[in-house]
Amino acid sequence: MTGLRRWLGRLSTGGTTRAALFLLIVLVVWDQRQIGGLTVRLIESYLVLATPLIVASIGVTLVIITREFDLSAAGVVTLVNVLMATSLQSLNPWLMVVVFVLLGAGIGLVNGVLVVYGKLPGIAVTLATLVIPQGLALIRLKTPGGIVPRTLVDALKTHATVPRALILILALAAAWLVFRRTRLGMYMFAIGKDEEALRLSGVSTRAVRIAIFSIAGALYGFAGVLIALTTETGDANIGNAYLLSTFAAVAVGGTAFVGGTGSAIGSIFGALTLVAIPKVLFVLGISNWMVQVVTGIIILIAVLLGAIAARRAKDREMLSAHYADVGDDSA
Amino acid sequence: MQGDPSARSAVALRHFARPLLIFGIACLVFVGGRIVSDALPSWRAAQSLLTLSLFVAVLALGQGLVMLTGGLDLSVPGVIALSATMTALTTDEYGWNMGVAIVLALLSAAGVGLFNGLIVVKFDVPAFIVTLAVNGILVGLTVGWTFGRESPPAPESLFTVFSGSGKLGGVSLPVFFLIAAVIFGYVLQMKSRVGRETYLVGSSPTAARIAGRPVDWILVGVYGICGLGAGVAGVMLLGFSANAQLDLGTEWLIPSISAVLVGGTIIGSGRGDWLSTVAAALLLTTITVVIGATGFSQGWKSVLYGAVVIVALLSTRLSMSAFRRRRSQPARTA
Repeated sequence: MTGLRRWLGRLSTGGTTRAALFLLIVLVVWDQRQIGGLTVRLIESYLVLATPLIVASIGVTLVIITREFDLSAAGVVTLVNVLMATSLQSLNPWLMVVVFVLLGAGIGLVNGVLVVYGKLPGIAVTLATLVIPQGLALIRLKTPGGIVPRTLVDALKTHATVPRALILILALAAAWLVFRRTRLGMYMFAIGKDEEALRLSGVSTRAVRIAIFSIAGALYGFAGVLIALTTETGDANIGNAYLLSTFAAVAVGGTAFVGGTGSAIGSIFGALTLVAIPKVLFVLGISNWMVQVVTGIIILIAVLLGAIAARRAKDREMLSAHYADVGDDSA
Repeated sequence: MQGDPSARSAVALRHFARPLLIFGIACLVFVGGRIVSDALPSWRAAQSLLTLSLFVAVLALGQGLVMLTGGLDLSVPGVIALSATMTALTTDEYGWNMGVAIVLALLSAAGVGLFNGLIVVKFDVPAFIVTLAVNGILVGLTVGWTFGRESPPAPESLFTVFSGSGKLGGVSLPVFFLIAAVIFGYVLQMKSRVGRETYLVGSSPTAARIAGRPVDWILVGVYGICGLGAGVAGVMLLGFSANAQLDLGTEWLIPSISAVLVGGTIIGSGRGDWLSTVAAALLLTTITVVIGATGFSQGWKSVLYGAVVIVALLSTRLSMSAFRRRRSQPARTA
């Protein structure tokens, strides 16, 4: 009985639990209405399709935990997607991936340095680093096209007993569970909760914030690679949708936009939900234009639920003077 | 510190030095356009430049107020699409009177803004994500509403006024609208109570609250103004482009936000002035026009915009820290 009550309590405050439950509902509806149900093939292609958004929204999550905002994801994703299809084709494909992940990290580093040393608002800086890569991508590739290395596409898409995409997603979840217990991971949460306190305890909060921006940038770069692999083409306009969907995935994933709390696993659930929604609406026979409306409403509800839960958690925190957990309350 | 006469004259100097500097750069770019095109600089080009600046300036007014208070309104493209479609559909399809249609469109635009504001204030959530979601909802609804129809055409008179074909004394009408918008914006942001309250809330909501100001309602009102501004821009853009296309607003969001940033407004700091924003709107539009004349890829426009924004952010920060001691804690933004 107490177990049930605790579980219900977690449902109202634990963002990740909420996100997992919501994803489950969406998937069950999809399975029920899809003719022939959800087959292995269908799930496989769905997971592949979701990987870029998953990776990008994990990056956004990290930045949001440090109480900053990063709009540059859409820009980096677009640029890397275009470069994957048009540049460095003679390079070893795996080396190519490394180069583009580093490119993303480099843009993230620029964000971090400008925000931290320039003392500039992240949202303004990353607006610039959103449009600059988008512009460069457009210069490089006016109309969609290009060729993406076959080896890499096969590595992600080949039919295997355990889908490669699933392995990737599980690896990301595992990496998150390890990362949040590392020193950097704990500092990340501490900065979001109380940067001043962390700074006074002798930690270089500047370095931590720049590191988080860079890691996020690397993830956006990797997401760009994955987009190129899933779409097997380059498209300079692909990022526009990512501006909304990365933040949507974070919100639906139950990360409140207050800093100091959040979960990459929640964002994985959130991204999976967002990719499934158009498919579910399609099998339900709902018009295409409603997809945007429904997605928008779901984001609003998710953000509001997150805000309410965060406020409740804060009240609890104030009541309990001995609250010492730096991490999130779920995941 | 504010009482110090030298500091006060420094404030006054900075007040006008910045817009003049930005305006000077805009003029230089415009004249320098000669290098890339024989059609520059010319009175014709100047008029079309001022017309384009009108839309940026109208959008930047509301956006600027929102940004002063630490927010960001990304629902602008959706509101533009909504207001343009409403005006065009109701006059063309349902045969409404144009005045009624425009008033209704503007009321809905303001309504969307107020809704944004209420959500942001009551739930204390980041403005940009709320408005991003609202933008998606609006675009979706507008698509649904116009479904199966061609983009409805603009009323004839609206087209005449905003496409630049209508002239008064040889000057196209949008130029007069720009002048009116600049004066209105100056009075609203710099001289009126609305502006003063916005600055106060922007620089310190806590202080404003202690001073007994209705902070929540001021914030909601600011989002309402931003929505209304986007609605006005929607009606203008409908006239300008003759049809209510759905993506009417998309290309104007970044320029209007950039104008506010380049104008020296720091998000959530309660610092920034309207004349600089207008000068920045002119500068950014000039860059667009000159790039258009070169025949280079439109991608260069984005790259230059981004670069200008970064340079402007850094110069704003430098001039600020030279002028004032750093604030011990940077304001939480958006």
